[in-house]
Amino acid sequence: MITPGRTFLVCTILLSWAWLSGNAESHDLRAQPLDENGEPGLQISYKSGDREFIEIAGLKTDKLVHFQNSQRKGDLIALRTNLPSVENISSMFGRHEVVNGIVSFYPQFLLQAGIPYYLEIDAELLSASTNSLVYTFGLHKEDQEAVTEVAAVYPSASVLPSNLLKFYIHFSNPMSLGDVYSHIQLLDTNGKPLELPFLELGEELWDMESRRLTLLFDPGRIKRGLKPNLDEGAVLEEGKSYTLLVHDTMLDSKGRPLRKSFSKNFSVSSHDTVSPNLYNWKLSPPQVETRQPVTVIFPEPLDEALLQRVVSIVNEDGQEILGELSIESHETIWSLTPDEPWKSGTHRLKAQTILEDRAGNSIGRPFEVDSSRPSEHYPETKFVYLPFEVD
Amino acid sequence: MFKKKVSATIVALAIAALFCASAQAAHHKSSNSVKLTSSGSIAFGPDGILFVADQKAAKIYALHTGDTEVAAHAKTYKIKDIDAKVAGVLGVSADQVLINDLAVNPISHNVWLSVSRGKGEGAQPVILKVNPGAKISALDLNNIKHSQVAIPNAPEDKMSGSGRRAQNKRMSVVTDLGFVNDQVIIAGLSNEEFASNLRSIPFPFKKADEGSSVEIYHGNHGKYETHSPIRTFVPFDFGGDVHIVAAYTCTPLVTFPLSELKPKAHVMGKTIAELGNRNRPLDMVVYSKEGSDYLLMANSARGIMKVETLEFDTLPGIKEKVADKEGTKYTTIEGWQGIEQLDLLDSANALVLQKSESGALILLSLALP
Repeated sequence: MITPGRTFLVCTILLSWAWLSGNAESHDLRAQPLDENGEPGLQISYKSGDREFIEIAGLKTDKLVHFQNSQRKGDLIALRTNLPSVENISSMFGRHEVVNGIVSFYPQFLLQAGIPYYLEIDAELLSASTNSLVYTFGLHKEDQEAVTEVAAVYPSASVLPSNLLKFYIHFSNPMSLGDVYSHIQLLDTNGKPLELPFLELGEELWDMESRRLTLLFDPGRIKRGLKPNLDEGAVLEEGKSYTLLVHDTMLDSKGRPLRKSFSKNFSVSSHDTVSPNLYNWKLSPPQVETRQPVTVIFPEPLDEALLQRVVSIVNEDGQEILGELSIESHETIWSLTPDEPWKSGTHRLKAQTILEDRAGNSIGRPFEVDSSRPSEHYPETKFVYLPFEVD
Repeated sequence: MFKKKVSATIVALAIAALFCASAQAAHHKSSNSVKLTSSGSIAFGPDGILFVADQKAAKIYALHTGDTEVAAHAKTYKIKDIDAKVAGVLGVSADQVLINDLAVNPISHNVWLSVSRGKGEGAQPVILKVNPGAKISALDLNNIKHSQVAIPNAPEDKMSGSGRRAQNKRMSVVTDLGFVNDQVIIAGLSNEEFASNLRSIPFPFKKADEGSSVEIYHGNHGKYETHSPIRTFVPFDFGGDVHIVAAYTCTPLVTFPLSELKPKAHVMGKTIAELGNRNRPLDMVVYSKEGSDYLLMANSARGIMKVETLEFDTLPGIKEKVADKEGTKYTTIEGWQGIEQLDLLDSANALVLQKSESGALILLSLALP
């Protein structure tokens, strides 16, 4: 066990630990005993290559017989992230092997750079020492330059409806998950952070690559008549200005902070309760045998992510036309430049009815359906179409 | 301006359709290795079977844990710094551990954790078992008896297969998972459209049976009706008539009969309580004490809430504007602060993951109030 008298030595070793592990390129690090001398003849090394393991050489044969027959291998040779006396921490998961008088410990998981590891060898395995001995080593963590930044935020306009439902925050590299909401704030005109403006979900709403975060406003404050809405009102008030702030403390997937904080200033317009209506869209058909884009102009900005995914052009046979999609003018213009020249005939713009505007009103239904107005009709189909002729 | 290539061909669509069809088929393997890409919500089914939501792979796994030894006596837990202890066995610093969910095996009363080792590059999902003596062991996913089912998406949400539409960023997050009446119930929330659904998949998983998906709504005071994603839910048996008691992301507590989970149904939860602002429901359990049934809800804003269930089925539901604490009756148990995860340990005790003011996590059994 570690005695209090060893504290100074531990500190010294921790201070010099980065230097000790500076030999990382060789993939062979000698662990240093916390006691001045350690066990004579005992050599403990971290090795990596095809596999990562800790090699313990120099244990006497009679001790190895005892070890090989023991059901407590993980107690006799334990790799830990803390000093054994400091925390009651179990040994790291892994497997022990004994080959040619050498014990190898294969950790189940790759070791983490930048933290110390401690290998404790029980006194039962030692000849000279009557106490357990601890050896320490660490993998050097390279200083990493902060390069990741917020690449885009949608909606991109600077005037947003008071019942805005979500932001999409795009990052230039994959990000770390787990505590995103502590790095993001919504500030009022005076720079004061609003309390809990967003729906904080432990699961967090990332895309597969962890490069885009969906930030939903607290729906309890958007939905009219609910207690949070009655008590506090909507998060955003018409006529006021706000700042979305993403702090540079947010970490990317390599553990680097952002290159700089990001802020988006915006002002707030009125409540948007109207669903997007296909018949208000202005479609400009292309000319046959050209690769002119087909362009659709919406009377209001629509949800950027859904515009990317649920709008397409199909030909008379229902085949999707391949091409380059472009979303411009603060998500009010959608266009497709085909890979191949247009053929004559009837084409159709095809949109899923889940396509939403910035306040969550979809083609299929408004965010809130007012049941006191039962005469309003919304399509019950999954798709809606806007035909146009190419000639 | 944001540009992206869009493409799809008949061949690609056919491949996509094929992919979807095969992806939706359930796979039964007596034993084989399981490669989780993520581990989120977990819940126990029968016979020590642990359901695990792997939302990155859009799959639910049923893992036969082999943890089937009946608890011989009552177990108690008081494991301080459980995150540090988990970090220790996984060989990382405590700040690189995320405990995503916990579940108590109702047979053995052992505690199981769904954990992410790492938060960024190289993060690995791990399923851990913890016993009262703080011994932590990992579920060996090599050669484990299991079955799996895809959480279906509409085919048009899939990539076309051409590679040029690989920018599809849609993911469905599983906000909660439960097992009742031979059905796995999955609450989901999309990272794009706000439409919400609750999915019910029969277990054992049947080939190509994607179960039913229903849209969940909230009827607000009889005037406005909105989609309402479910943050957490718990099955509740009203004398043989099983209901789902659910907390919406917009905070109301609602009930609806399990029998309403039929394909393409439009399910409106009956609001039985409004929880007020700054109150994020986190987890729920139901239990019986002295002849009455209660619901316990962990939430972010206050001590745990103990809700009387006596009137769940007879209350008309909140239709008018409510003052604080209208609807069903509940009391707040102030002593239970910082409860992040909650499950029943046995008939008299709850098992909680509690965060102290210093941020340390403790795994703790507490007598049911």
